[in-house]
Amino acid sequence: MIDQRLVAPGSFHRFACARTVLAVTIALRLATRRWDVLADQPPELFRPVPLVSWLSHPPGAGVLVAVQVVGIAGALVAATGRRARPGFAVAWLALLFLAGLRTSAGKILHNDVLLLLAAVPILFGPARARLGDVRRSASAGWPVRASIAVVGCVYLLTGLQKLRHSGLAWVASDNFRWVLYGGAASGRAPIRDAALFIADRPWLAHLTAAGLLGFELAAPWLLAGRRTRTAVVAIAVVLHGGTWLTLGLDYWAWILTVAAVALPWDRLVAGDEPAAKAAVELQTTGGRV
Amino acid sequence: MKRAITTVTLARVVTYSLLGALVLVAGLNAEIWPLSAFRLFSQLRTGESVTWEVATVTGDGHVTDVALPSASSESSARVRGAHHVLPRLGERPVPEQRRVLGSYLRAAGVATATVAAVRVYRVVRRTPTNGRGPGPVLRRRVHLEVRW
Repeated sequence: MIDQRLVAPGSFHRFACARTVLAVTIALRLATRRWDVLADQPPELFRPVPLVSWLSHPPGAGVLVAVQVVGIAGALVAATGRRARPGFAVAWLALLFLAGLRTSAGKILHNDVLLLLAAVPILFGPARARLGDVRRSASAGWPVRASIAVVGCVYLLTGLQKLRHSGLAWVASDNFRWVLYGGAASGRAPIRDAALFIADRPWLAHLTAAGLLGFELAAPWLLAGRRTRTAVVAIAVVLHGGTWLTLGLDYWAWILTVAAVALPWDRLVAGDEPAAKAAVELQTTGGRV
Repeated sequence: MKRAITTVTLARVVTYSLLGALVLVAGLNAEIWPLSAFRLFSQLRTGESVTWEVATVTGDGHVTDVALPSASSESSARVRGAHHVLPRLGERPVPEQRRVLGSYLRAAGVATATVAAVRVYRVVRRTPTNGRGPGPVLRRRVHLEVRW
């Protein structure tokens, strides 16, 4: 049944929307960070992740900026819909390389991980998908569903790891209060009082922790249902927006990634889904588009 | 028909490989970035937190703490990740320990002419509940000392 849902037809419009939003998100990630400073990292402090382990030291600033510019250009090309597939691939590779270097300093960073992983199936989607094209095909359907599955899997694993390493004490103990107190004291949180407001009220801290863990564990099922999928976007806004407000951690790319794959684009832009369904359907086993 | 098989096969290979890799890597607690164990805040936090601090020692035993630039600062790429490198530095060969600590000293603008040794301290602090950090030091012990 899961397999049948995976390869069922989907609209080119929805695929194009997902690819466009992911491309814009990649462009924003590339454009809003100074990647050239990575060149300043001394070779002895360079702890490359396997992806860039072929490098003995970070590339020079010129190379980093060149990759950044090429990546942004690729993302913008992909967002326009012309040469979208190669443009998207170039943008994805650029972010993969630069974010890989950024996480090569001893600490594994997750800020770009969901975006990079959810974009993988999109790399294999139809090249000529256009916004407003309500025709349906398996080739346009499976990449978005695979991306949804990846997003659900990542949230589920994040929740399961909390249970695996901390058990229910993650919710029942003062753990979450200390997370918030630590965030407030770190100086990174834009609104320190937001963290303190929750941490100072044990019942609220437990409730927030339970809601957070519950969402992570339920995410695959929430994403599987058409009606609950949109709610996941709203929850992601609250969860990651709250993480930024209370801890100062930058996870806005996760919000846009969830929105890209989970919003009902067929309804939002192309009109009613039944109407779209009534449109010309390419065969499930249809050709390459 | 050949094209049809290609689409469905591609969908299955990409999707199930990716999901399988995610589950496998997380199950093994491995980090093969961007594949990850996804241990985001998975460890229990208490009212105590551990930090790692670097200090220089002169020939007459005078100890001076080294103020590393903020790790969260965008411009402090030189010392990003110090708190993840320092705990395991003792497992590395001495020449590498010197190179790493030397990088931190240079980043902090510390002259090394009079330095006889460099220490890495493991510092346990009380997490403040008023949002004004860092909290008071509860314990501080030498984790590593490298002759200079």
